[in-house]
Amino acid sequence: MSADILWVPCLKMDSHDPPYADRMIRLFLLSHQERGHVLFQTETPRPAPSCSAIMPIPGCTWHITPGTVPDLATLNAFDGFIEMTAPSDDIPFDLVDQLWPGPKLTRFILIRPAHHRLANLVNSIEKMRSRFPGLGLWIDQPTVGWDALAYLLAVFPGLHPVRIQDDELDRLLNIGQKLEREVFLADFSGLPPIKIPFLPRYAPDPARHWRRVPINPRFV
Amino acid sequence: MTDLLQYQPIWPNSPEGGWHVVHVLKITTTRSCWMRCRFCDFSHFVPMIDGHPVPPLTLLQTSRTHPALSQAYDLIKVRGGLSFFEPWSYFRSAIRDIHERNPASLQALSAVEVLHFHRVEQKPLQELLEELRWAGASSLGPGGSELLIDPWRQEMSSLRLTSQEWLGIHQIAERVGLKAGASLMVFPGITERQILDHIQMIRNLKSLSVIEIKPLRALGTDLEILGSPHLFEVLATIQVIRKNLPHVIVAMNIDHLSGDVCDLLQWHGVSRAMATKEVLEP
Ligand code: SF4
Repeated sequence: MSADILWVPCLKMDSHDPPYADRMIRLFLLSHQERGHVLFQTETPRPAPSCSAIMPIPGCTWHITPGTVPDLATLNAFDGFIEMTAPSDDIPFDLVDQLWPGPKLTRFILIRPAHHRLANLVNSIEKMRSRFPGLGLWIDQPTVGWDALAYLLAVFPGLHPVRIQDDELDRLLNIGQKLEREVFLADFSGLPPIKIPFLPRYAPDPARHWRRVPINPRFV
Repeated sequence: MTDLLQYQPIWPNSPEGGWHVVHVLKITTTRSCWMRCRFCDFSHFVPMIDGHPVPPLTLLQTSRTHPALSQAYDLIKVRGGLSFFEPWSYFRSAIRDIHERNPASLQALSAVEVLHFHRVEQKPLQELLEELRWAGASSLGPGGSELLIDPWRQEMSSLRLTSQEWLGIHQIAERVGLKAGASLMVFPGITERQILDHIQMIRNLKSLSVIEIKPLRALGTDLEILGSPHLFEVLATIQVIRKNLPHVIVAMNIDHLSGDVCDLLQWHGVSRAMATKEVLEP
């Protein structure tokens, strides 16, 4: 149980003026030690070391969402990498069968629909792992939830979370600490991941809390 | 053996028929207490709470008139802080009234209250416990058994009874026909050694059939900075208990838990879920 856990900060970019978009990306990367993934929801992406776009654009990974799954011919015609997202209760196994193993599909992101029970989610992940060994499997934290994510990371050491916001990183670090697995700041640019130190643990402090005289505020 | 509590991931595996849900009516005697346990939000400086005098209890009135007592439950729990004024006979009457109004199995007070009345009213422990049985209680609450390790208790609740005192009272309770009840509080940073030491103590109870797991709820207490225990700490604690006390039912309150956590608890061996309705003071 020594697999590392990756944290990939993500910036969603809509259509903006190029100078504004460039500045946003610059600031985003600067604030994450030059690591971070940019997801463009526009037809005119700007340069970023690790990026994908929700439409097929040369030079950018194609981010396929559940509502926009194209046919195999369209996918094969695309000259670039593909990352696919799918609901955990409706995985397009046949399509993935045709793409994997192969160079096009770089990762697969599972989104959990609200009604999908944890046991069924575990089965879906296990099915993906056994049917497509080696395919990078990622799981969407906001839809999966923190409790389920913690359990899934423990059960499937190769799994990684996506869409964890900066202000919730401490929760991921906590999971890493409890599982005794390092957490790394990473993206898909090829740059080496950066280790994130664990948070200090608080210990109960009897001297400060207990040995004080219990004075009612009314008498102060 | 290492002190570290290590969670061992397991595959989803629901027990046959899932867990047994017990519907509990919780009657709180008082939400204030002078005992100053650091993990408890009933703990207040006496005899004032936030500048107001502690009001007399309404337990007797509740036990006689509260409509909740006319409904069906599997278990009624009467528990709370330590009162400042009301005598033992007040609680005895209230418990008797509750028992007469509702046939559910009754878990009344705990070793902490029993020792309190033993001290202030100079009554033998056995007599108090026999009266509790007479009033209709079928078991003594697990209060006071959070962790039966004296150095920990000294730090967290130094005015409270010792582990041996807790055990002694429960052993007398067993003799007079009250079933023993034990709990275990999971706090952030709990170690396997602490859990095993706790188990070692409660093994001495012959009638112990259920252990209630209580994750620390630190909000509003001295320990707020610690937060709540991590899910893995709760699951790992259950694993240690299941391994060392396989014949004991592990129970947990599920009132504020998500569906995922409920599933996880079942897979890890919690076989009794307590759904609670609480009767609060007016
Ligand atoms: S004795 Fe019980 S009610 Fe009183 S402060 Fe301690 S835990 Fe709370």
